[in-house]
Amino acid sequence: MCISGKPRLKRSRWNRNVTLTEAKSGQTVKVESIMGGQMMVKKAMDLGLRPGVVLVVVQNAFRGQMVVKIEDLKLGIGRGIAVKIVVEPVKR
Amino acid sequence: MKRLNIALIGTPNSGKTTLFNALTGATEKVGNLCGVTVECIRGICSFSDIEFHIHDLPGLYNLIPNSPDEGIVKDALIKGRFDKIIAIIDANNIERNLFPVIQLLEFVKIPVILVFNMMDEVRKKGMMVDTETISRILKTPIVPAAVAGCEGLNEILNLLKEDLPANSFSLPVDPKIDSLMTEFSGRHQAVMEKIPHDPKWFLINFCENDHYAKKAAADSGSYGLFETFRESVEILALRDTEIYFSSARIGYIKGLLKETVVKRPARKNNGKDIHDRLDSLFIHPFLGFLIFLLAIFGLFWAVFSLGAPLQNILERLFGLLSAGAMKLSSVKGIPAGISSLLSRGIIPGIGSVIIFLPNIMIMFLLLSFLEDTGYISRAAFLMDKLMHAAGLHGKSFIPFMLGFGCNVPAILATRTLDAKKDRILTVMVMPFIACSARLPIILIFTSAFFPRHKVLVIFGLYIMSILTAFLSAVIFKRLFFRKVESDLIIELPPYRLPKPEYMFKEMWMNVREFLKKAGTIIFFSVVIIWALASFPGDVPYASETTVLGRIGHFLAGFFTPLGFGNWKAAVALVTGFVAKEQVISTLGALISSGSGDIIEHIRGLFPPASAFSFMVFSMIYTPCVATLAAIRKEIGVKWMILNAIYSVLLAYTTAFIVYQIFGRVTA
Repeated sequence: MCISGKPRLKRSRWNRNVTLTEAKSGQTVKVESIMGGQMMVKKAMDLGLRPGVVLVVVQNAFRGQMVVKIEDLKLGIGRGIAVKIVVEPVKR
Repeated sequence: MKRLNIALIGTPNSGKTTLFNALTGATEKVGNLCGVTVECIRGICSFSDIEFHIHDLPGLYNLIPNSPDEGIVKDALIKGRFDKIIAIIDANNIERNLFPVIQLLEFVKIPVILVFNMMDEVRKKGMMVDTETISRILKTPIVPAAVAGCEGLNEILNLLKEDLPANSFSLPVDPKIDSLMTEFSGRHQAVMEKIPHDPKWFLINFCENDHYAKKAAADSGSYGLFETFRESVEILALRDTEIYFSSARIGYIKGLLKETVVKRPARKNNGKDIHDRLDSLFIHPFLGFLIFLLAIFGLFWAVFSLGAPLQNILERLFGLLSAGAMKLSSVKGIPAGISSLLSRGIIPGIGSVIIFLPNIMIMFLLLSFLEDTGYISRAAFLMDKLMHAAGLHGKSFIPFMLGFGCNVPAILATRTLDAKKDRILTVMVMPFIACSARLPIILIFTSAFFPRHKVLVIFGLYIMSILTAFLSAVIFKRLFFRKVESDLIIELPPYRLPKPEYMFKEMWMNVREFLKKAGTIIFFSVVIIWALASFPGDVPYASETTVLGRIGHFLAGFFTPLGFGNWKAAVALVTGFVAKEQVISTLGALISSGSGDIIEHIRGLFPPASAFSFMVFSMIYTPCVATLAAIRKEIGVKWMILNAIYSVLLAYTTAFIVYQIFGRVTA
């Protein structure tokens, strides 16, 4: 059950995975998996969003499009794609 | 002379076209964003007795294509007979840039030259790239270069000239899968012979669900055989074959770069550099939006205000020319017809358009400035939500921005959109974006009727053109594609200081196009208009009893409800179908009496309400011939017809409403 009304993945000590949309600006996360259609997954993979990649969330505000940075490459990601990316927070 | 065919390949925004221009001396469009080149462009460069035919291909992330521009590359590689390939890699992001290059190396069996571009930026960052080791492992020559700074060009030319060993790269995969592939191609030799490619490459491509490979497999008549093979690979790999092979490739690249690329140590300042700081302004959800609006307002202000003094000078010059041509009639030996043709037809006709050359130059200069800095991708990113509200894609915004220059290249630029429905929608609404050819109409009418609030009215008209595009997108989407939902994922390139020479070169190209148009299409149309307006000879020029006057009268009936049932306006609009500048040059040829400026004459021709309605109509109605041809080429003849009909109807209704409202208000 979820009080805030936002659907959330179940979190426990063992499973700290969240969707990319839940990561905060400035946070470093690791991509766990990408859900979604074949086309979308391929496009995301082509641009460097692959499972195992570590990225920094540059901007995630006001429920709008997000900006992430993979090494030196900045990507703008629509919210529709961001909710399909499962990430795990990385401690620096 | 020996002739060699060379192809240029690489990811988007890695500098292929910059290299192409440097090698061939061409002036193809370059910019700091993805997807500037969307078709195969050829150029020739000669070097030590060899003629190199260089083919500049669109950029791609993956040799298994997503979008039409990527499909063009695959087609070219399969059908084209290239002797050598130059693969360009942006050394800032070697890992991602190597991906399509590795795919290329798996595929082609001809010499490949790798160019590690932007090494100057890499060095500045303190990154080290051991190109020699990478070259040894991949068995291909590598040139470290900075193409924009002309670094490494000689090495590239020398390598092009040399006889290089053919590429013999093969992607290392799991030995079990490798032996499965060898066994398959050995057992089914008869089938494999029907496929004109390297067996291993073909099998991998088939397993990666490539359209081309699947079609070739179906054509060979043994699709089932390949499918069983794919399934057995899937069992061995324990996952989807598509993911397996791309992971194998990524794993290989990672291994390759682990020893050869040394990244700089972590930066100070929380790891924020100048790009990050600029981005915190430019892509900020609120500030960014504000900055964007200011930038666009500034653009139109500059086009209008900075261009005005030069425009005045040109205006006077043409006035003098026209007056001079009038005097020719009194000179003996020159027929009166010539003087009339010059002073009434050609000079005011062409002149009325040419005087806006300064404005158009500023427009193109500023547009290419925005492109070269890398800001346009940011703007597209910011606009994503707004574009989505209209049923468009965030990426559609980039073609929209180009559309302010000219709709034709903007329509070609939609090839970077992945989903076909997004493309069709973007192309269909593109003509509503007011291109630079409509600038003369806007400028003349605003200076004639709204001299006090010029910039505001101009800005308003541009906003109107964008809103028309958005509303039409909503309508088209409702009518034709109910469910289109493709989300944005876009690369935001690093900010770069634009090189003035590139900006001016690009502006010059556009100016040349404009002058060419003025010298050919517009020139001939003006001559025809003049001829029709002077015939028969016994009535005054451009009076209602001339041939053109009669045609115009017939046409004018259609426009009476819109407030401009004036035959000259009707003729101008019809000729505007050839090219939108023609609206003004026809008016120029018909209303000038050889003296005074066109603005005065236009003020006399229209009452204010009908002038406004005329302006609105000419902004929206049928796209010009070139744009229609581009629509047909990109999305088909049916859409083109629909577009022409829809835009005329829309223009008619909007102008009617505008006239009714304004007519009441001014009355």
